This record gives sequence, structure tokens and C-alpha cells, in this order.
Amino acid sequence: MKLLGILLGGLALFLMGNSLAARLKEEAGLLRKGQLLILRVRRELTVRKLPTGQLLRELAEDADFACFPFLQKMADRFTGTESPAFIWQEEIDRWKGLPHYPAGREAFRELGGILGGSDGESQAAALLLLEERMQNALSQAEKKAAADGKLCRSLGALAGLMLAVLAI
Amino acid sequence: MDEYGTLLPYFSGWMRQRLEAVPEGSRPSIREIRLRLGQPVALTAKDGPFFLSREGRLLPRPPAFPERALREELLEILKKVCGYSLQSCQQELAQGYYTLPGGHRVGIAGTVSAEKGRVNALWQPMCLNFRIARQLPGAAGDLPQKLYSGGKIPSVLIAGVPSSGKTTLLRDLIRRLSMGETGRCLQIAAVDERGELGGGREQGTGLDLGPCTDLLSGYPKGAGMEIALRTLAPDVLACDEIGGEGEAAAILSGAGAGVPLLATAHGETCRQIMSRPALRPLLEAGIFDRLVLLDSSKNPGTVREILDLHHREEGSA
Repeated sequence: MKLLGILLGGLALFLMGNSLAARLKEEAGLLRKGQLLILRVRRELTVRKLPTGQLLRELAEDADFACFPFLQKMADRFTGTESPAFIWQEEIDRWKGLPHYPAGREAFRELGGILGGSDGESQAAALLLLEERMQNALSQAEKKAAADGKLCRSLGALAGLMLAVLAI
Repeated sequence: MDEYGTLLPYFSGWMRQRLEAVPEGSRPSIREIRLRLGQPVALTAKDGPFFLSREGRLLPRPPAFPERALREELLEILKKVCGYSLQSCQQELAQGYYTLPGGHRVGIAGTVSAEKGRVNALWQPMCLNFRIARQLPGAAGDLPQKLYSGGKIPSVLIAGVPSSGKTTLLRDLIRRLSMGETGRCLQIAAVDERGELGGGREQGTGLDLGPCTDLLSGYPKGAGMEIALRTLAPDVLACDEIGGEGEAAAILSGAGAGVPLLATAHGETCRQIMSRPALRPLLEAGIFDRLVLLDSSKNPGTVREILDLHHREEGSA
């Protein structure tokens, strides 16, 4: 029983390390989706010049962006009578999945402030800058996920092994 | 809610408070709400421009220390007008107007970018003019009966200076002809390029044009007339504000099919109208049978003269 407990303890440490690594990877994935979201918005504004409400509805219905629940909330709340920037800020603040990387967080927050507030070309130019910032945040997150993820997995495995060795 | 009240949600802060304070009794006489950058809010009524006091009284001159419209306020109002979708309203903004539900036209002027003589984009609004559209049943007076003769309605051009009530009169004329005031109900196709005739962008927010009127909202005049003739079998065609660049040829090709045309145009006298390059070809081609001249903007909707363009006999209302 003691041996079983020790093995389970070691396994738990290993899985914890794995979980941390997976979270880092997930965060990078979220930022990658965020970059795609900005790119998609930029394309829709410059090519189709969609009204903001229709754009939000299409984004909310797109399975690629299912990881952003605030899009559906935006689509439900926005009627054209209230600034989308204000509603976006509220919904982003409520979103539990907001990335930890400051650059990524700010890029998500600022996206709502751009929507519908100027002509298509000006919005597209602002979104291009936002895309670059999201790309920077994504590069950092991917590097961190690669380096720290490996470290977490290794540390988890090592801690588990050490526990087993010490106990035995 | 009265038409004036439907525009209040587009304003906020001190502007909305001042506009809401205008007494209900004064509201029907207000034709325009005018915002100018750095200037106090002005309202246009029959007797000219008025300025708002803090209590909502209409003053003939600006108050001593007026509140003035700021750049950010004008931009925010413009965004609201466009439903926070400026990217999809660029064409209208470049043309200097946007039509709200209910047919209210917002005239927009400011700093623009232009290329080869054409406005590309609006950078900063400096003036916003909310023209209040009103459905005034009976605005056309006895014009339907005066025009209708021999079982037919002639082609009519309604002309007047700005704010003389041309669109309101045309709208009432269309409605009453559609309802059959002159005999049978006439099928009317209204080509509403700017959305002011029918006023509706969404169901239920439009102005009443009668039970037999087909509304082609947003269609360029020539294309709209062509489509109406091919697919809607109208007894009468109608359109608002002809006289723009390139419209004469489009209207000539669309309106030459033997279907009477009701239209409006800017101009105070027959000579003025004949001298306009865009209208002269239409008049010389005999597209219009009657010219209805409206009185000045002090008496909007009042018919001053009805001219028979074929016989050039003068009649009066």
C-alpha cells in the first residue's frame, strides 16, 4: 500500500509537470487563434466591408473561433445603438480564458475598440498593427511553451522519481 | 413617439438633455437639428434657425455662454448614426448623407480626402444636419385631383428650393394615388435611391406609401426604373431628387416606356430648372407633362404654380 501510495504520488508529480506544459501550449494556441481572428476581421472589413453586427455574428458562428465565447456574447448584445468597444470591454473582462501574456491580453482588449469606429482602411491599418503585436506575443509564448514545457515535464518526472527513490 | 423624439437616441450627454427639454408643443415645427463643430446646437423651424437654452427654450440667437459641440461628440454621433459600422457606410459618407430609419436624412460635411474631383472618404465630421422626415397625410392637398384627367395621371416634376416640402408632397401624392383617390388604385414603383421616400431600412420602420406601392430602396434611379418596368408592371414610376450627374441619360432610357413619372428636383422657377444641365434633356425630351412649383421654405408644401409643359399654359393651385 505504501509502495502504491508512493507510486501514485510520483505519478501525480509527473502529471502536474505535464499539465503545466500543456497549459503553456494551450496559451500559445489561444494567441495563434487570436492572430487568426484579427486577420479574419481585417479581411472582412477591407474586402466585404461587413456591418459590425453581421461581422460579429459570422465570427461567433465560425467553429474556428469557438474558443472565444465572448464573440457570441458580443453578437447577442450588439444592436448598433451602443458602442461595440464598451460591450467588448465588459465581455473580455468576464472571459476567464484571457491570455496571461500582457501583449496578447492588450491586443484582445484593443480589438473591440477598433471595430466600426472608422472607415475600413483605417480599421484595417489599426488591425495590422494589432496583428503584429499578437504575433510578438505568440512568438514569446511558443518559445516559452517549448522551453518551459520541457522543463516542467522533466521536473515533474524527476520529482516523481526522486519521491519513489527516497521512499524506497 | 413623434418624429423628433425618434432622433433623440442618437444624441447623448448635454445635447440630449437640451433636445429633450424642447416642449412637445414646439417639436412639430422643428425641421432640422443642426450640429456644427465648436458651435451651439441649432434647430431650424419655419421662421429660421433657433438655439437652445439650457431649459429647452428656442432662442433666436445663441445664449450668452452656450455649450458647444466638440469634435469627439460629433464623431460619436456619426458612429451612432452609422450603427457603429462606419466601414459599411463609406459610400454614403462620401456622398455627404446617411438616411436613418424613418426617412430622416443626416447631411454630413467635414474634412474629406478627394481624388480627381471625387470625394473618397470622410476623415472628420464638422457639421451634421438631421433633417426630420414627417409623414403628413394630406400634404399634397388637392393635387391628385388637379393632375388626374382623362383617366390618366401625367408625368409630373415637383420643383422647389431646399426645405420647400418636395419629398413630403411626393410621398403623400404616391400614397394617395396608390390608395385610389383618383379612381382605381394605381400600382406605383418608387425608386428610392436615398431611402428618404420610404424611409425604411428594417421592416416596420418605413413611411406609408400606400397599399399598391413597390419600394426599390437604394437602387440607382436608372437601374431601378428599368427593373421596375421589367418586373413590376407599374402604372406610375416615382423617384426623388433628380438632377444628379449622369442621371438624365439613365432616366431617359428608363422613363421612355410610356409610364408616367413623378419626380422632384431643386429649382425655384421654370427658367432655373431648364438651365440645369441634368434636367434640360429630360424637359426637352418631353418626359414631363406638368411642372409643379412649390412656394419658398417659409411655406413648405404649398403649391405656387402648376405649368403644363406641353402647351406652356400657366395655371395656379
